[in-house]
Amino acid sequence: MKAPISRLANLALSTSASSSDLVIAARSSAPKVIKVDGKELYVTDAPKYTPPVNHRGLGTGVKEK
Amino acid sequence: MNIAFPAVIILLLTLPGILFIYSYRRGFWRTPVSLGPVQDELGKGIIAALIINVIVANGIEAVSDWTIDYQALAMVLSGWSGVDERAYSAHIEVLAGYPNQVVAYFMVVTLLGTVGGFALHKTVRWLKFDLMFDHFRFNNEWYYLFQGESRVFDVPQKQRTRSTIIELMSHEIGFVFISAAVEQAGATYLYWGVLSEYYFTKAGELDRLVLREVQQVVDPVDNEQFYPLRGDYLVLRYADIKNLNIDYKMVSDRPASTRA
Repeated sequence: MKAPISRLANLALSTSASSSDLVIAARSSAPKVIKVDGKELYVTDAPKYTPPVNHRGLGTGVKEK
Repeated sequence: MNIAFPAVIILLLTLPGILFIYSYRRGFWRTPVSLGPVQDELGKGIIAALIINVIVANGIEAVSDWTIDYQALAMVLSGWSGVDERAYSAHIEVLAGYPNQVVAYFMVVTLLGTVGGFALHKTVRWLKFDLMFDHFRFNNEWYYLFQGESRVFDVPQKQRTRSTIIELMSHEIGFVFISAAVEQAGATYLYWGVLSEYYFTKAGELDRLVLREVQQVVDPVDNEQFYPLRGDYLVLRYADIKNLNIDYKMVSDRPASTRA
C-alpha cells in the first residue's frame, strides 16, 4: 500500500540533489528550507495535538486529583 | 432424517452476517484487516445474520403476498420430525416446490450482507467515526499509523470532535520519515528514509517496508556519520526491524507563519 507523499515532497524526491537534502531536513525537528530547482521548500513537522492549558497554566494534560 | 440439510440451511442463513462482518472490517482497503477471535466474529456474524434475515423477511411480507411459515422453518432447521414423520417430509416437499424463490432469497440476503458491510464501512470512514470514537476504530493500526491518521488518537476522546479532527487532518502530510533499527548478521544498523510503500502478509501482519532516499547511519551514537545508499528503494523486512520511529513531515512552498 502506498504511503502518503505530497506533490511537493515528490518533486523534491525526484531531483537527486534535493532528495538527500529532504532526508537531512527531515531528521531535524526544527523547520528547514531546501531548494528544489531554485525554488524554496519548507520542511516542518506535521502539527500535533496540543493539550489545552489548564487553569494553572501547566498544559500537561495530566488530570488533577 | 438427514442431519446435513438443517446444517446447510443454518449455514446459508448465517452466511450473510458473516460476510457482513468481514466486508465491514475489510471495507475498500487493499490491506488485509485482521479479524478478532473466531468466536467473537462468529457471534457478531450470527447477530448480524439474524437482523438481515428479519429485515428481508419482513420486507418480503410487506411488499408481496408471500408469508413466511416460521413454524415450518423451525421444524426444518431443527430437523425434528415429531411424532409424525410425514409432517416433516411435507415441509421439505413444500420447500422443494419453490426452488427459484428459495435460491433468490438466499442470494438476496447474502448480497445484502456483503454490500451492507461495505456500505457501513464507507459510511463510518466518511463520517470519520473511526477517528472520533475508539469503539469504531478498525483493527488496522498500521494503516492509521502510516497514513498519519493516528495523530488524531492523541486527542482525548472527549475532545475528539469532528472539527478537531478536520483541523488536524487539514494539514496534508508531505511524507512519512522512517528511522528503523535493523538487525542483520548479529549487528544493528540504523536506516533513515522516506516511506514509499508497505506490504502485509496474507495473515494481515506487516511484512515489508519500502523506503526511498535511504541513508545508513554508520555510528548510531553519532548520528552525523551517515552515508546515502545507492539504489532507488530499500526493502526492509519487518521481522528484522528492532525499532521503528515514525515522523510525519510537511512540505510547503510557504513558511509556516504565512500559512492559513
